Amino acid sequence: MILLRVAMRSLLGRRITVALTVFTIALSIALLFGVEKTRVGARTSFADTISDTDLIMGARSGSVQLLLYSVFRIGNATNNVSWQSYQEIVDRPEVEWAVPISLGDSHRGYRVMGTTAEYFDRYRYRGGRQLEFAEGEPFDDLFDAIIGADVAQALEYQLGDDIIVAHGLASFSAHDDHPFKVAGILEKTGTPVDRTVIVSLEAIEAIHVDWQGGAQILGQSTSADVLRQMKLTPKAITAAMLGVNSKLQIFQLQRAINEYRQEPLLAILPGVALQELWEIVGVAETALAAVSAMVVFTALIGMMAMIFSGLNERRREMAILRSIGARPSTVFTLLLMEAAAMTLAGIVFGIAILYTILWIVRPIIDARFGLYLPLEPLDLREWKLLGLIAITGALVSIAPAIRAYRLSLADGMSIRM
Amino acid sequence: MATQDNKDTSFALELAGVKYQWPGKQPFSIAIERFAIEPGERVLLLGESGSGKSTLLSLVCGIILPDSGTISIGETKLNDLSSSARDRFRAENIGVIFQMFNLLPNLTPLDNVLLPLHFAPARRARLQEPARDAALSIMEKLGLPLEAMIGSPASRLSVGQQQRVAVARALIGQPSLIIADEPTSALDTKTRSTFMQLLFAQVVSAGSTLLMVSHDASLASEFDRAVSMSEIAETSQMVLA
Ligand SMILES: Nc1ncnc2c1ncn2[C@@H]1O[C@H](COP(=O)(O)OP(=O)(O)O)[C@@H](O)[C@H]1O
Ligand SMILES: [Mg+2]
Repeated sequence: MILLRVAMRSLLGRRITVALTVFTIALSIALLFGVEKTRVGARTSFADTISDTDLIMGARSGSVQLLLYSVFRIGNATNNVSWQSYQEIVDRPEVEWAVPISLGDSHRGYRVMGTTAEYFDRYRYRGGRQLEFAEGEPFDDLFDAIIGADVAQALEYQLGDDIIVAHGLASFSAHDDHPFKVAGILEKTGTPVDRTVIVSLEAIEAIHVDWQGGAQILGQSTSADVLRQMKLTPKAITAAMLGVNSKLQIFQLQRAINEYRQEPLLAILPGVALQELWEIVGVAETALAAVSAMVVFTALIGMMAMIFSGLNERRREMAILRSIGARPSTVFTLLLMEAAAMTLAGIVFGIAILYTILWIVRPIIDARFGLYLPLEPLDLREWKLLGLIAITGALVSIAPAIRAYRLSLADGMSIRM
Repeated sequence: MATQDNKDTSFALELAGVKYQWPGKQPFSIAIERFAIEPGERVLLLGESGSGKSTLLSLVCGIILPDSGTISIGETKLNDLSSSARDRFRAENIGVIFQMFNLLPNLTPLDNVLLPLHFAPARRARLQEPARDAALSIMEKLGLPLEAMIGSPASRLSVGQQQRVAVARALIGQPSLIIADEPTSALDTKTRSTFMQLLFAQVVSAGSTLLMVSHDASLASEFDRAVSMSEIAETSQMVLA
């Protein structure tokens, strides 16, 4: 179609301005879709972190808070659950399995989590996947530690290496009298497990035998072998993952825990708590999406300004077209086509930038934030969004096109510049 | 549609009782009692700058519509046509040459010549050969270097060459009426006479009627007839407070 050729040639004739306009649109689209991909990636990644756990139980606090510290290792528990209460809950008939976890200590910035060996069977992620050992096996000895893939990679640990656990999360006092040995390294999961050092519940108890109120009791250091012989029943745990015999009993058990008299406890359904979390971050997400959408809109307005500013120089062109028989509506169409072509080029180029950047930063984001962004093709929603942008581009260019139409009507054949 | 074989009774162009006033702050108005051109006639319309020559040509082309009076080309009354029909009629029957900047600068000269055919299917159908060949042969007759017509944008050509490409564009498909608005004023004397010769040769071979406006009375001898604006038109430039 010759009109398209005229439009393309005209764009080529202004290639620098056009290239800049297209580049602006492309960048804005890459930004918008980058935010969108990150958002979806974060949501999926969060949702994939826990599966097949019916309830999570902890001391009474907010359900989002409980979910965050127990599953995502974000924030801290304000209170513990006493071992006795935990035992009583676990003994209830609804409970099929229970895995206690104890958090609070750290190793070189990574959280140390005490749990039972059952954790490796019961913990499931991304639709029911199980933890796999890349090397080694679950703990056998009291001072065995299992480390996540990121811990192993970042600290270059191998089986048999010593690990010294620090007391608390950012503390200089270390449990250096009782070093752990790396007994197993887990496969990468894309969950916070990758950044966790897992030890037995007893070990957590053991390293605190000589401690009181956040400091080591002066001169007291029980030897490892003595500790190995001791009966190390924990006094408290941070939280527990629970499975019920029948899904129908979930709410029954939840109510029982929430109404537990001896101690204020809270049980949450991970999916429901996650939903609550989305409601909270939803506001920020929407704000971010709105800002990036505004950026796209600004880029399109920039294109409109560019077309407007070019109109005067192009009145001659339009008069020529009119003189050879083009209708004013043809002039209108021509400008719309130019705008559509620029928007389209911006979209294609923007998506190319997006995937290139995603491809480059993916490993970095994964390493830094444990956020695994899948490199998936655009989904229906994203295609629709692109369609919307294309339509907006066309709409925005209607104003200069109308102006061109008017000019070409008013100018006649003689243009008064 | 106007036909090539105009009957004796109809003029190639006829204006009767035409009045037009430009809108705006300082409206210019023009009134033409009667002005007609015989088919095949070559007429030079002389007038000072600002005397309304281009306005008259816009009226003839149907780009603007008179406030009153009639304009006929062949047997077609422009007044009777809708605005899109007028555009179509212009595409099919009128070739226009401007003073300068006739071409779309980013298209090749060849594409410029072919462009009007896109708006004028009948004119395209009149061609004896494929459009591209027709365009190239007319450009060749106008002494244009063909390599430069195909590969590079029209803006690379000299002004004289651009004017000749404009002639080719106006004449392709042999429209019945050729309108030229001071086509030589941007050319030097030597290029001017070559241009005029080439234009005339092509107009004659196409059998078209030519209406050219200029402020240069020295061109008059080459035309069948020379008319001055003041003879046919009353104009006034109103100055509003
Ligand atoms: N597009 C236009 N809009 C409004 N007024 C115009 C336009 N073109 C020409 N005029 C008016 O018509 C007058 C005559 O202009 P024009 O027909 O171009 O004369 P010429 O071609 O003889 O130099 C100008 O002085 C101007 O006031
Ligand atoms: Mg003029």
